[in-house]
Amino acid sequence: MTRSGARNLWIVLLIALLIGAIAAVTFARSLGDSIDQQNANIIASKQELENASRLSTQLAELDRLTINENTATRLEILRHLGIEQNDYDISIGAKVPRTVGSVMLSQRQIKVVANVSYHEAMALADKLYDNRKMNITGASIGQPNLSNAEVQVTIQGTLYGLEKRGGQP
Amino acid sequence: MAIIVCSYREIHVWPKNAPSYTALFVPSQDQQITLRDLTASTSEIATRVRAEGRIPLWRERRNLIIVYGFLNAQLKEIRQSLRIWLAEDFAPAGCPAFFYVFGNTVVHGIKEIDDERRETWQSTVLTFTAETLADGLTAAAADLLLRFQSKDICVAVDGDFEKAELIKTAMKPLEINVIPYAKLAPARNVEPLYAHRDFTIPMVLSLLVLALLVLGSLGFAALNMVNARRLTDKLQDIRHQIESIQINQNLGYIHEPKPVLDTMKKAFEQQPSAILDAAGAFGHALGEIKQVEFSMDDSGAADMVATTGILPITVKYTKTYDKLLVKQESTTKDLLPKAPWIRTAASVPDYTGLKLVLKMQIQSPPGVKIPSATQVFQPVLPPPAEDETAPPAGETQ
Repeated sequence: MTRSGARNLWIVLLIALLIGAIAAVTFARSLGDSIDQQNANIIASKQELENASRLSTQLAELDRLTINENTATRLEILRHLGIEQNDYDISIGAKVPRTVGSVMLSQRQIKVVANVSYHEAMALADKLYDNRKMNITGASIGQPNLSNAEVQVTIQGTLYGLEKRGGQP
Repeated sequence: MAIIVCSYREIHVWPKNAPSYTALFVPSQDQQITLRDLTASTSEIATRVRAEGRIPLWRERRNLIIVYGFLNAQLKEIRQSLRIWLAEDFAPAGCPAFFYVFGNTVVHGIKEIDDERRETWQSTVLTFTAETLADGLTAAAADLLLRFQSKDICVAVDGDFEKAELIKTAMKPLEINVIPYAKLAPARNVEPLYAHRDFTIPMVLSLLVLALLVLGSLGFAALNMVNARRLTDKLQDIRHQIESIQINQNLGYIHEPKPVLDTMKKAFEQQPSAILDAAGAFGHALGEIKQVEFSMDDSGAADMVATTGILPITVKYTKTYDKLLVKQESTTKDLLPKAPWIRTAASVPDYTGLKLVLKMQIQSPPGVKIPSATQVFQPVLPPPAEDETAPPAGETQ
């Protein structure tokens, strides 16, 4: 190959490689910018996912803990508490509305009096406490009846209700 | 060092495939041009002599620009490094004539001195056959010996050892020394007429560096592409997860359920069975219990629970085992270290006919859980009738 031929070939290759390198770097940088944008989107989406997940969980919990004010009969309340099969002496107070943020929350005072064995009394108190469907504000247990060893347990608390729309999700 | 012998029109000797070349330019006298009043610049000289793209081979001598001819186009295109000298540049000092033998080609030069005592060289290229080379050289050298009366005539032979010996033998009667051409070097005070370097290696290296740069850039771009695709997939996955979350349809209108849940949170942390049982078990040592009760509706109870976690609880008695208050106090003091969840225990006045009303504060210390009812509590039955003051059997406190 002649000197000028080699030089011309070198120049052509040099320019081609330079253009290739510049194009590749530009492409890589544009991808880098895209990656930065994707990372920002992922962070925002993760936050959105977390918020949606938290909202879903909290709404499910709220749905579980409250009665539906549209169908809040005495039987529904007993079913809600899981004591509809027992003949406890139960008194339910009047509905008292309360506004929390933009939500109208109904409250009812409820009092459950039962004459049961000591262990049943303890189990009843814990059941009502653990399922959180009734916020227990007081409890008492009396002297056992010597004839049948039953004690009188009284459990007082607050029941909450919300206006619910539609059925289950 | 490979030697090229050339004139403007012709290349007489050109060994191929050498890494670098030294060319001896043999100018013809009729082509030499002498210029005056010029600065030593090749471009100006080229313009002046109408080179028309050709490269003039020139040298400045005594304030004159002497153009010996033009660079042969073929030599210009040699990729290897090339330095072009005049043949006489290799003539040793004091030498009146030279013969450089390259195969059957001989470059021959004779020094001439004009009327102004200026030295000029007349050089030419002679071509012999292998048979006539030695004899021809001997004859020419003999003529020059007669002309110059000097034995300093330079005869140099390039390469071929046998030919050098042959010429040496032929020159022996003339007592002219024959030397290898490799021993000759250009005079120190002259520069080559033309020179160019071999840029092949820098060119290849620069291309390699650029190729590596391109490869690196492509690799970087590929890596970014893979990362971008991975992030896109990850983003789509998160989007699908968001879309798959089903918001409760019953309460979908509530956008901030947390404050509502906070409103509904438990009034106290301990299970009511443990509270009632612990208070009953503790209080049973003092007498016959009528009732154990706690209420968040009592004055200050809710605030106390909220701020300190301590829950007030009341134990009411229909009968006490000890009538002496100091004994009741002593029994209580003995029991308190055994039940760390009872923070305080104190009797309060009562006007309803009860024997004793004990107010306790109950709180589970960190790391201690109040035992469950089945572990510490037995049904609060009255003590046996024959021994009213003794504590009941089976008490585990």
